[in-house]
Amino acid sequence: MRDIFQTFFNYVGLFFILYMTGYASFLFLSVTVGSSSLHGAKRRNLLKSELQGDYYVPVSIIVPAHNEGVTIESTIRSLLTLDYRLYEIVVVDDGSGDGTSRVVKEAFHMQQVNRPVQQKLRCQPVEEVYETNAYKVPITLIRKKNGGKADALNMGINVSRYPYFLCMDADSVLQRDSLKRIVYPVLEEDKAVAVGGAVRPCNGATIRDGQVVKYRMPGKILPCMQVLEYDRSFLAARIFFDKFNGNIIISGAFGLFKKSLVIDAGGYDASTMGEDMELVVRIHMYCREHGIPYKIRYAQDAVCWTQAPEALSDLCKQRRRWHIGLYQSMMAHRKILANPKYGMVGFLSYVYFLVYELFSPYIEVFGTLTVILAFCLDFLNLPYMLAYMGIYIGFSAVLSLTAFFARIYTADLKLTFGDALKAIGLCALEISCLRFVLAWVRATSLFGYQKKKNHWGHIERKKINYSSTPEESCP
Amino acid sequence: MKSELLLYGYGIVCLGMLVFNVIYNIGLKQNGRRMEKRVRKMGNRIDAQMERIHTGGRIAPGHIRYLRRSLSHVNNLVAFERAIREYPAAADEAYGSYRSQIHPAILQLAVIYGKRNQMQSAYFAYFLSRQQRKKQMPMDAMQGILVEYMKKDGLYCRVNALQALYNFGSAKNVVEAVALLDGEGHYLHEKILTDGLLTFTGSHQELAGLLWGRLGDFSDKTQVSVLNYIRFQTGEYCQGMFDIMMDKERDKELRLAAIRYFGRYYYGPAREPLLAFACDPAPANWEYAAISAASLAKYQGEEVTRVLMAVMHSVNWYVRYNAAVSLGTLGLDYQALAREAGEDRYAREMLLYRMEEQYRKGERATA
Repeated sequence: MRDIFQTFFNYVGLFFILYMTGYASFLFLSVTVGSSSLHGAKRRNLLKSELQGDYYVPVSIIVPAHNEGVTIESTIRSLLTLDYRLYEIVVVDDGSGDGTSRVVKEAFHMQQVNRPVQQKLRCQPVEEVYETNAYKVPITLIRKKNGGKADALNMGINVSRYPYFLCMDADSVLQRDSLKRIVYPVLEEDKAVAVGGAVRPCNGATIRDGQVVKYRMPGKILPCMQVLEYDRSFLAARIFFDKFNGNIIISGAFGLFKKSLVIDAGGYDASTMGEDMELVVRIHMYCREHGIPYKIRYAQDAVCWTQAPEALSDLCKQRRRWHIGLYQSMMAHRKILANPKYGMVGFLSYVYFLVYELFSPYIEVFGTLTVILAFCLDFLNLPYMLAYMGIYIGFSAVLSLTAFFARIYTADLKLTFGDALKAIGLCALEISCLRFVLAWVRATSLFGYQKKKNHWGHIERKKINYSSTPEESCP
Repeated sequence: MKSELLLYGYGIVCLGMLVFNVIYNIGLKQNGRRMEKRVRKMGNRIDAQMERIHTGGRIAPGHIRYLRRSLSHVNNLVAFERAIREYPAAADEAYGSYRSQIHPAILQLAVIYGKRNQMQSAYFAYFLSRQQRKKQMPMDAMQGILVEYMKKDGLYCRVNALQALYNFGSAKNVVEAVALLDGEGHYLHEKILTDGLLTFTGSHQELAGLLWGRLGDFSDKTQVSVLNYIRFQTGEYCQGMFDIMMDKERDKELRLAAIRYFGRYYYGPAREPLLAFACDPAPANWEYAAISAASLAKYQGEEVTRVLMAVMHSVNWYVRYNAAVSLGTLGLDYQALAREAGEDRYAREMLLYRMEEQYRKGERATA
């Protein structure tokens, strides 16, 4: 019996050595590439090796909102401060019950109109349309029957006037230059059909008139750890995958798309919770299958500030939803796995997301349980195990801090000494504790999948620390 | 044993990264301070030369040699640009005299930076565009060198060099640069080219004429940019635009650009073709119909009104919307038109929506 266990643990050990070697190598490579990319971008900025003029393409900013009454006004006000020549704002109230529409109508003095809406993409019907031209750019508010975020985005696309659209969340704010910077890849390359931006937690940041005037690490531990996590994943995966047109996800909080291509590809899929990833994977497939030259880019200096959940229960709901969305997207497009027709997207990007994102919670939970079992059966080499954990935590912590400080420095944010120490102290906690908690949450997210698959759950929203000079109505 | 080696190997990598990060971040901080010091030193040197000029002298030959040597290092060039940025403008004769006197050094630097990597060349082109904004320096020989920058691979180098050429105000050199860029097959977004041409500081009439003269030499994408630029500048090319619009062999975007031209400048012979485009029911030609419907706002007459009303029944939203806008611009009453739309709900809705839009904008205008 002991021999059986020995063999079992040997194979598990071998598996984990290969698994962790792969992950550690990918992380090292991607953080190195990401950091050098960020520093390269700063050097290019110093040497004006970027677009200097006021160049633009017209963009429709679509803000789907469901029960976002607390944050929607700040979001729209941040959009009115954008340093950009031609854009419009389209807010889609997806059947909110908290008066989201009322907040928008009152804050921006909107009037109801009988605007005909072209149904290029199928979605739930319009109930009311409001408009105002009294501000810097036209603002349109659509109130529609609830159909989910993807459905609301499709409605936004139907209503939008311009050839490019930007999707963003109603609990996020943009910097003054965010729109300009996310558009640059489109101006630089004729094949760019979609561009993702960098999403950062705004907990602790003070933003005034579209500029970060003060940056502090969040007061609470949980959002602090999420700051480190966001920096690591955005810096690592997104920048690295961008090098070979391999990004298969653009955050739904901040992404720019060529409208005609999205319509041709069928728009957002309303049956999935991971509509952001699903659309990007579908764009890859659509373009490759139709022989359309394309690039899906990542604009690392186009920043969107979003709220990170401060309560563990809210964080768990969010991560559960993300994991279900990931599962749905991966399953819907599993034919690209290792398929030569899809190039590096199929061989590297999809495999990475499959093994290190989709399967990783199960692998990590299994690994933890195996360690416990080995300990109970006296198979565990404790000193080796502790050394392994120590090096794993140290390695991941160093990479997280590399990403974090690279971002702080290249964005010219001023960090206090106390906050720097906080970041250093918490990164080990994030990797050793939070990661395992979230692994369990993600591993159990698919239990009862059929019943809960389209259930988003309610997340507590807090007012964003955003202020703006009172926007005067245009004469 | 092998697994332990692997483990400790990663441990060493981890330590190495930690050390690297600490040293690198210290280095970065020091770089920032070094640059500030460089800017101060450069500023002091420039001040000393300005003092000589103010007292009736010329700048020291040693200063020109110094500039030639030190500005060939891009960090010093950045420091120089930041230091000289502090000086007030063209009104200061001493400043203008300084700039003229250092011109030989700058000319040599143009050749040096032309052989450097894209980032450094892009910065030098940017540096030139900033200086010439004040039209301080004679730049004739410089422009020839800058035109050669169009051959470089980097997008930003080409864009910055073009911007410098726009600022110099020589139409001939701008056209040469555009032709070279086009000939090399380098991509430049049409917006960047059109908007850049609009910032040209010389004679737009001359520039438009020279570009039009070489239109046939350019690729379709560049031609579209040129047509869009000309649209914003002058109505003197109606016949040429008409020929492009009518030529079915031409690229679609070119013909659409020509149609837009007639939405800005009235041209009698264009009326009938615009009416025909607007009426085209083929779904594949919706863009011709939509843009023609918009352009017809410049053309008065019963036939135009009749066609625009007919086009209100189009299945395409943009065609209906543009036609409705044009009908409003022609001074027609939306309520009457909505009655005339008959049973077509989509046409009526669009006209009533346009009426609301007009009313809201009218309210704002009188408020």
